[in-house]
Amino acid sequence: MLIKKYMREIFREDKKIKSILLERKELIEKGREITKQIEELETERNKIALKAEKLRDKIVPWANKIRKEECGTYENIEKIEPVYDDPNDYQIKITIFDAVEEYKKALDEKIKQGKW
Amino acid sequence: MKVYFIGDRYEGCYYVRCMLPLRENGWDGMKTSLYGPLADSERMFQGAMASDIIVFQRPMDRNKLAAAQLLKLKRKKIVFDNDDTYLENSGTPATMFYGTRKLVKKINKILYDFIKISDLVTTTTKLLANEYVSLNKNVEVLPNCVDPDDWPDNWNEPQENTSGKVRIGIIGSTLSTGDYEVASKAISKLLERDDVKLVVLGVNKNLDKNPLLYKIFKKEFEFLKKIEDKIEWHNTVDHSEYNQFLVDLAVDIMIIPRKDNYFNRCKSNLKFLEASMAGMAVVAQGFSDGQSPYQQNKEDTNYMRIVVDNDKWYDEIDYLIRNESERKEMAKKAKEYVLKNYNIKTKSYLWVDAYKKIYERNF
Repeated sequence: MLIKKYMREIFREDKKIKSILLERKELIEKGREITKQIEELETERNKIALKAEKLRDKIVPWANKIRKEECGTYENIEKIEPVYDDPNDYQIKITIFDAVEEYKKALDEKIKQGKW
Repeated sequence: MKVYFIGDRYEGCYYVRCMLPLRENGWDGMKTSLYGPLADSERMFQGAMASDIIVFQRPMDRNKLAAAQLLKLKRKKIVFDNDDTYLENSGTPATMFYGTRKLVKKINKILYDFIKISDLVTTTTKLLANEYVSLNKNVEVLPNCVDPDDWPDNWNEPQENTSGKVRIGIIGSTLSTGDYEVASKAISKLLERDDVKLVVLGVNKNLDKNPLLYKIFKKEFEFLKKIEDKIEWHNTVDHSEYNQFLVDLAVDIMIIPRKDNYFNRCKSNLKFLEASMAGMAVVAQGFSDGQSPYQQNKEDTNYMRIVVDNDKWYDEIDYLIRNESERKEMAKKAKEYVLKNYNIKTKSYLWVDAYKKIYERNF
């Protein structure tokens, strides 16, 4: 309110400047619209990622059971995926990795590069 | 509007107060799924800096207060959320902290200081909102909700009680905070019956091996030890497994006794929501002025049995034991009611509306 008290307004006619100002205003509005769309898409993407996490949560207890039954002391489950040609006839592929072997592999690579 | 959630030590509170709204609204937080990892400090900082609003759920230490003050300097909006009172002499149970009464006082001071610097305070009940409104005029009540996706019924068949006995559950804080004592006469009578099995969950069987925990839960532990051979006693489970575990218990009737004190009056109806989702009929505590957590929403009371006079606990439970079809119908209707009225999928807009008010103040 204090600023307004000391402000005054003057007017000029200039077609070129006016068109530049209008073009600029239009671009800013377009930019804002795109920012809004990006934010909305980001939220949608997050929602999809969170839904995928929810589905993973539903598999975890089952995977833990499999791990207990099938995995050795140093093994863990890497990936669980459906494998099928026909969606009605599929199997679940469970990829198991050995943490010790993985460590050895990484160490071998370092040795090969002379870093060990 | 980007929102980031930071919780404290109570995983269950974080799940209900943060994870449910964040997942439904596409926001972010220190934990975004039941089995997912917990963000470390660096990731939490990055998440907070990338957001417009940062929600702190029950921030009990001074470091979080300092973090919030720094975030405010970066023009971030701060939301304080809490679902329990820490007011001194309010009946705050000793089981909520590992220390003394002095510690509760200290925590409450931190919480109050946090409330004062917050742009918005959100909580679960009107009573708790009234406590906070003297410290911050922007207080909103956001109800506790359920997410049907997290309940096994949707992807797995629930357990049926095939034991031939009516299974009665005392679960969680009603057991660990000594609230069961108001129904102790009824519990003693139930233990004498052959057609009933008392199922308890909330205090661990090997608790006496830990001297500190034993000191805190001594009364509850000794009570259970005394009746050990007559009950089905379960150890507590991780929060990620809680819903499935609750359903697998196949409890027919959940009893929710509560001592009448300010702490319990500030509590929400969450236990009723959880029991209903697990297919249990509920007998819950009422207070004579109609202000127990299970009476505050009058409509809730149509879907459970309320005990105001503590001498009537046995009669109310016995009624449901004897009337199986009515009990099952009540449990079924309660679940439908909870899904209709406390479902995060239809209530998540409440969080958006509440946060928008402070977010839009920037423009």
